[in-house]
Amino acid sequence: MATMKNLLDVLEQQSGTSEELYEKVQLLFRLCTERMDGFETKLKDFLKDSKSLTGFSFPVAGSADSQKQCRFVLPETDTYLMPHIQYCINDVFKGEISEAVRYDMALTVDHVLEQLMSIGKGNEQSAQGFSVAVEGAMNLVRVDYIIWCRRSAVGTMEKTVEYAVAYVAIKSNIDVSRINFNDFCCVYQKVLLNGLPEDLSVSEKSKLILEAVESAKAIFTAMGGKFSDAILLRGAVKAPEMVRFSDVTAVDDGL
Amino acid sequence: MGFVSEVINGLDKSKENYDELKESLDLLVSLAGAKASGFESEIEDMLKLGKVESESSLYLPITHVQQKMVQYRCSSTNDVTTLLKDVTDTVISFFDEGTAENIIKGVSNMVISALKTLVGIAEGSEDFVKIHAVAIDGNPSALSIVRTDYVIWSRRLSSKALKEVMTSSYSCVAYKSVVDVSKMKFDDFRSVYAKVLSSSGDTSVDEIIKMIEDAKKIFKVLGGEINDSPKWASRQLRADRPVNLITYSEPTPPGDKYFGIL
Repeated sequence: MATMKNLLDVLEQQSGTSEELYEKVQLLFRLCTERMDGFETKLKDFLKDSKSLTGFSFPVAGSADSQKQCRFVLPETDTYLMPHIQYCINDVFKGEISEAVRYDMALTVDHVLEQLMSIGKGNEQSAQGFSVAVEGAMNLVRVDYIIWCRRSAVGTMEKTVEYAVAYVAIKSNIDVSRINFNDFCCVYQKVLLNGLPEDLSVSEKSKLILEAVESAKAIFTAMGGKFSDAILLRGAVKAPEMVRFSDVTAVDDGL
Repeated sequence: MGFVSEVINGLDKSKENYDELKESLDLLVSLAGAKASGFESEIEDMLKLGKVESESSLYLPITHVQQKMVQYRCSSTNDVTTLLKDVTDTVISFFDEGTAENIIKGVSNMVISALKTLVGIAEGSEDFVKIHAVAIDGNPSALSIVRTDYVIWSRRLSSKALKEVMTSSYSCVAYKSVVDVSKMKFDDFRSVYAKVLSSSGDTSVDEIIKMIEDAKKIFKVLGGEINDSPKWASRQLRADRPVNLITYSEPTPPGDKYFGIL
């Protein structure tokens, strides 16, 4: 991975760089920054509506932190980007996040990137996702991200820059008083499950998850969240009312 | 001025650098598209607030967006006149047939003069212009007050191979919206409308005054309220806070007794 500005500076200083290539890299750089700004606006609008891609509702109290970057992936470099992604996630959370959650987030982003990078030459694609987590001692947060990738198509450009990647991530504090704990738990336990080491047994995994969910529950209550007594299935059709029939009485045919 | 997609389709495939050129043009189209969508959301945000610029207090609220247009164009040095003609045609297509000629001319001239600044930008650089105008759209039997917003972005190319195909790339976003007359002040309308009329070039001051008087009548018919007699006592400037007046007492000269003799 290389920062775009650095590459542009290097190309400018190199004597053998053709002006066509330099202009093309400049165009790619501008495209990346424009996409990045566009995605940031899109994500902010998306958060205003407190939407989530899967239909869960995670209203946010406000954006806590955001990060956006655009990078070039140079040819013949290692496309294993996990360490870099983990570093970026750590940067967003300032280290106040459990190892398992961080690893899961990085893994998810890595899968998304892997898919994006398998696009055809000369194409571009973007992906949007979100995750929830417990940050620090007692903070429920959601992280929304959009990743965009463009693959170079031909000759000189392909030899200089293979992929251009841009991403925007926004961390927001969840408005605990307005969420349903079931919604939070449903997403959070998946995050935890994916982040746990693979060599653990099922019982050990579920024990660890239960502990984490219990602590999340404690935080949820402490922050003003309310548990509803009855679990309602969202989207379920209203149960039909039962009509009670009285016993059928025999018709008196006294006539 | 042609469409960028037409230029891409018209490239000579047998040429050695066809792939390279096509990739550059594809990048340019994507960039123009990204720019256009950015401007679209910017204009829509402003329209929702009834503003023209985030820092301006000019208030032109709308009821709905009537028409929207997004185009990516390109030009070569030789066809600046074609470029300007195309822009005029686009502006004309935005208004109803019965719209007064000097209004259309005024709006076109505003757009053209803004575009001329873009034509002169340096190679390898990019810039954009924003124009807003209000107009009385339609014939006397079906009049409406409309607001038009234009953003034109341009990038001038620098490499030799690309310049053979085109010199500049343009991305144009235009919105035509119906003004919510009941919420608007006539002064706000007049301040923009007068500029449109004076931009037409061949309208005298007397004609402009007459047209504004006509606009006043239309404004009233469409439900707008006009304050004919400004009362200084009740009129408020649209400032954030009224200025506090601090009254000073008459300065009195200090007496000798306060000064010691050194």
